[in-house]
Amino acid sequence: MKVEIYDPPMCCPTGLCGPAIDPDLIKMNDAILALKKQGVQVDRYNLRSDYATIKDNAQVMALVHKSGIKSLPITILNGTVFKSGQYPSYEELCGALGIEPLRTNKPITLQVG
Amino acid sequence: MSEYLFFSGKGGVGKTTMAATTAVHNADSGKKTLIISTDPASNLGDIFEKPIGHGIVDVAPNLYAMEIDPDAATEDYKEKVIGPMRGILPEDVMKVMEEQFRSACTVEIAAFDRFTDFLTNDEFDVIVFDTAPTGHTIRLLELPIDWSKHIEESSRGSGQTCLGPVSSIQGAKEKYDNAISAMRDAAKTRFYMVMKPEKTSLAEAVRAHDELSKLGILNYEIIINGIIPEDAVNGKYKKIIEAQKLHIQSIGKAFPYPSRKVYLQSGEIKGIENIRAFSKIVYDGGGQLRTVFRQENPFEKFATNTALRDILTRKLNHRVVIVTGKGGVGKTVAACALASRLAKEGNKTLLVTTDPAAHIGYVLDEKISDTITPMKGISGLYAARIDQKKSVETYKAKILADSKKAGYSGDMILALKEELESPCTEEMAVFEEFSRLIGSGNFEYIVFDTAPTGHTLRLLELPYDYAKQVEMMVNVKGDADFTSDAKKKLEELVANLKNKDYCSFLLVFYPEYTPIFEAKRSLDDLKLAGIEVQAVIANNILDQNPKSEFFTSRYNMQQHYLKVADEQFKLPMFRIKLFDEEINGLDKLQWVEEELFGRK
Repeated sequence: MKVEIYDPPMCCPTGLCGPAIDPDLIKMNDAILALKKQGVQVDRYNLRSDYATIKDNAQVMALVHKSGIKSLPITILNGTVFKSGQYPSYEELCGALGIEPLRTNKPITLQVG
Repeated sequence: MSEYLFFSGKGGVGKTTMAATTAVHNADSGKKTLIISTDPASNLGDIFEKPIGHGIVDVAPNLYAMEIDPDAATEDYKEKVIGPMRGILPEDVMKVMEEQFRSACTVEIAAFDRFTDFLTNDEFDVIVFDTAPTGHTIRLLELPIDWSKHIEESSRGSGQTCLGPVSSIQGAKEKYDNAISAMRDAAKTRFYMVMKPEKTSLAEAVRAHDELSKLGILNYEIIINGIIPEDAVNGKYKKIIEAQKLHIQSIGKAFPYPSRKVYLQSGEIKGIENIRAFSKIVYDGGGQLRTVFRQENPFEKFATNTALRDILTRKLNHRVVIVTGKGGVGKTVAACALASRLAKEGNKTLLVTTDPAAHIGYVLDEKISDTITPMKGISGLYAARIDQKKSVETYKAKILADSKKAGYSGDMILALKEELESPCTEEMAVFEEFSRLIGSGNFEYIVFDTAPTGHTLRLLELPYDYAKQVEMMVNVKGDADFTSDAKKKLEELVANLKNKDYCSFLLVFYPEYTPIFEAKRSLDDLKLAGIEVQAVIANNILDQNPKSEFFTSRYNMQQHYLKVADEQFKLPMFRIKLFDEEINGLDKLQWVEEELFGRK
């Protein structure tokens, strides 16, 4: 099982370094941490620093060319585009991957949401 | 193998002149020499009387020069990263990408990246670094160590690092490691500690030397610059000679290294021929340069004490007074005198410094800490220092506490902690503190003794870029809520700084060629940022001293440059004369107050 996330250009790989942090980015980060605990491979690409990898991904480039910046972020599940323009939630990802969401040992932001 | 020579010292000690002189000396001994300035407000071009800028130009046989311009370095660096994407990615994606390169951290990283390029370069026999003022230099030097540690740690850990832009440069770690080992190699690198025979100058050098030694730098040489020749003094300024003798002794005791005494010249050192002659005096021994300024009509257009009063009149709840200028021109003393007089007149006044060495403590003869403290000698006067390291800690603690309150997971907080270890955090933290103090409404006057010009400008530029960044994030997310507070705060601060009824900018300089043109540049930069400087203060003004040929020449030079300054600035000009004692303690500070405001 493999999840790839193509972020919009951000100053750092998680986008979590500014003074006012976007809650969506925090939720995404926590979702990734939970999925990794469950043995899912998650790779994250930032347009600014990982361009070399991104430009070779035809699916991503097609979406970016079609809708521009609005197409980002793009989530790809096992090679298929799952969501574009918005981050998926942890539950959505679990559902699509066919795994049970964690009940215990789950990051707090995911418990609230 | 290249030799690397660094020039370190407080602003205004003549670092650039000494660096240029040493570069000419090396070039004339047949070594292929490059001189590089990493100072954001570089004046190499003024000294060599030739535009230099962000590319290597040749200035004399065997001698090349370059100024690392942080903005141009950012451009180069941006091209390196996004150049390959141009024409491939859609327009709006490119726009967001370009915007991101305008952040302060990127500028710092880019300038630094360029700097390390030269530390691993073997094309020249000698590379002379006319480094930026000490605090900045140390930060630049600390960065490679922090960064390579940072890269190492994050590759072991989560793989997260705020070095986004750096991580895209292949082999960065190796380059930085090589840069550090080159700096530590005593056979390759020498640090010249340049200082004047003055207490603050020595204190600054000791501090810089301690930090550099901790970074593993071993090879030093001392240059005591601007010594007033004893035979030049005729009655006047005798106390200066006695004081400088004592300071030269203390310097000798403080630094067990080879040292060189360099005397103040009766004229200015400018142009390649002049520097060459000076290099012979410095390195081969010799007397004085024969540049003598002839008498002109004295400058008579100083503004009155009342004019200064008018500029400082408080029209709103409080007034912010920002004293700016190159390091070493006497900003600190001017800021202290302004704050002290305002407080004595019954205004609750806060004096703030961003200077890591907190010279205001020496001038006021009191202890300055990073919390607002009432000064014992003057009721109504309070002082505080923005401690970069400490404000970073406070800033980190605040963000971490906020995240804990918001209920973020332990893993998340760990990740956040790691992100906050990045060098960019420092800029943000200092800015937070700056805006917090400026917004504090409890004082009638807030006087800032700011750090050197380049740094001040970066501090001031930050809110703009920052607001833009915040705005951009909003656009990307299409969600206006979560950043609106931060944005509003920044917009308010920027508007306040531009409002003459709220904020006065005063610029301190001394009447010599380079300081005037540096001041003019920073004035223009501020204007571009929408800020009008309201007045200038000419410092270290000599009285006429007809008995001494040396001082007569220096006096004539000052009178000439006061007129030049007047033409350049076209602003009310106030003066502070040269005192023959260092301003230390409230009694002596009173002299400066009287210069600016008249007797009480």
